[in-house]
Amino acid sequence: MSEPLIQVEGDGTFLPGERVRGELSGGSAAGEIRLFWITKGRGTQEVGVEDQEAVGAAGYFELSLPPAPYTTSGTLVSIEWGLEWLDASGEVLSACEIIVSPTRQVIQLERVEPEVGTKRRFFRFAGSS
Amino acid sequence: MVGLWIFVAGFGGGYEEKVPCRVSQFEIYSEPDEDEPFRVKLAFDYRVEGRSFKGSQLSPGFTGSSQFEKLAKLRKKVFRGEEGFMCFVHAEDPSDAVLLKSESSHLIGLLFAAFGGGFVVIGLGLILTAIRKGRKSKVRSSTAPEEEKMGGLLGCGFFGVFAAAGVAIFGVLVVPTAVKYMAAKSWVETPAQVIWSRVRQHYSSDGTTYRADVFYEYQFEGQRHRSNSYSLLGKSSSSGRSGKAKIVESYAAGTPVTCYVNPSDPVEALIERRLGWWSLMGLFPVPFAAVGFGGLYYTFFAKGKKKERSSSVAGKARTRERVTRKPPLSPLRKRGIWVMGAFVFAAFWNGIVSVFLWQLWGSWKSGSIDWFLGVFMIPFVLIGIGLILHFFYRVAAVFSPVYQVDFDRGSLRPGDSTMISWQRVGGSGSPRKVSLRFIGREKAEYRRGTSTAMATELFHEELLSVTSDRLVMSGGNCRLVLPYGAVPTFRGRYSKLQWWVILKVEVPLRPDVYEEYEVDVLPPKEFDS
Repeated sequence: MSEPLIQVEGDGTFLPGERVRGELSGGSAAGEIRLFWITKGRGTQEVGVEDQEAVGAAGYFELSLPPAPYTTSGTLVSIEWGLEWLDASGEVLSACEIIVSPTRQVIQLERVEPEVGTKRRFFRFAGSS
Repeated sequence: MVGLWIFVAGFGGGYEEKVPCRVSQFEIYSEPDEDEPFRVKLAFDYRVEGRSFKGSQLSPGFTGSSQFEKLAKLRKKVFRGEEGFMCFVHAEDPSDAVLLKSESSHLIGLLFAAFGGGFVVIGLGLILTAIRKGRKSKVRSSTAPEEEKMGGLLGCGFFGVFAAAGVAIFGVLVVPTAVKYMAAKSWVETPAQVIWSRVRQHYSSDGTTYRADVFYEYQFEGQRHRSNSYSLLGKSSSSGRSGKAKIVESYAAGTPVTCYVNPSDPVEALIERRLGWWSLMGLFPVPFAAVGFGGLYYTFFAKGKKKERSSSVAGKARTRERVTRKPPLSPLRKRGIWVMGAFVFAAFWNGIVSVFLWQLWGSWKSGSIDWFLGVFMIPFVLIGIGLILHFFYRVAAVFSPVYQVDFDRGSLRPGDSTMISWQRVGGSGSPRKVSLRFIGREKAEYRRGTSTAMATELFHEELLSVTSDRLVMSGGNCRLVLPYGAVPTFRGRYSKLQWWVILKVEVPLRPDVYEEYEVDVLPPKEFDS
């Protein structure tokens, strides 16, 4: 018997608001498929389940992406998107990552050094700039 | 562990067998030059397995007591005519017996154990957090992060220690003193005579403390009594020898004095029944209780409310389009809150530091300055001075110029533009430069031990306008065009991607005016589902 597997249509990259379609195979019982984002990086991890669908041991699924957030990689905060197929007891049968972005690529948030003028001074002498 | 050891040791070091005894002698005498001046000549008889024994020991290891009243009460209890007073016989040697087991050590032991237990909970929480971090959660899409539970456990342990300390100080120190103070108001004024008086010294790792010890005799309802209870604070000692020496001088041996006697139990008496400045000690547990219970409330209730607010993504909140944006708090109100906060924090910090400085002052006055405490206090005093300066800085900031900033639109999509106008509406001082910048900022909140830390980084910065023109500085406008690649605003509970317009006004001899106005960035319209 083959391993449970999620097969997503296309190359795994999506535009925001698109529908994510795919096929499940190798399962042994009914369960649920979830479309979610997860934060990575310095901050405490958090998760948002944006869509979910009850599924059988195998078959097709179709889930909706919201307009945001995008798959992003920053210095402190990164956001990833994924699909998870769970059985009735909540155990993960299979999972895969997808990219959600207007460019179909991970949005890189490059660190910008704050300009001197942005910094706040606690005290400014009459002649200082 | 120490607490549990004291608790177990309190069960008597082998004096487990309880047998009836008859006390034939219980005489209290004093050795004024000893630290524990009150001694007991004791004799009691008891029988074990048909054999008679004589005992003379009050409690395990007892040599003397600093409180006459305690022994006088015990003597009264022994000779009240109660038949069958019990003594405690050593399990291995029936000829060894004591009249009392030190029961108070059970309570002290339990208090120690409970206090230490709080730190154990914190430690366990940290270890469990580290273990859980090491293990990757199998279900990634679960919306209940384990760290929150661990955070709750850590918060419970950390703040629980403070709350317990506050309650313990209140229960052990404040309540009994307050009860005795109220009761002593109706005690009977009685003439007495001083037998001897001494300044007692107490040595500890924190330095030497002193106590006035005045031993006096009085007659009440035809009975002669003695006591060395001077004030409501019992045998507590404090720094500063000279004040205690003055008390002792004024109560030289043979001096007639007035004491106050408890009519329902005449062995209880006091010379000084007022509390004076020491009544402020009643406030001592307040900061502990405030930090402890405040922290517990935040951990279990306030945080729970925050939890109900889910993460928001600008793309979903299509109803939040607004014509103008204002900062969440008016600048004056915000400055007022800063002043109050700076005052409370400076007062709290310096209040605690001043207790130790007072002790240092006392040791200096008595000619034996505590150098270790003095050196140890230097960084704390410097922080205290910094907090006082910070308070004055915040007061100065209240009078800085006040600006109002308006936006044509508060929510923007990539490629959209909006006019931003600024207007000076109050405050004093002549600004030298006014600038507006547009920034994109990442913000991450994370747990570090028991506290929450925060980090920020910029991913976009753009100068919108800068001017030194006096007229334009008092009122002007500029245009903001949102870049096409701008990521939508993301407001998670712990991770955020946000866009801000920053107004900075430089004013000589003042802190800069620095206000932030959030701009909601929405995804392009074509992605709306």
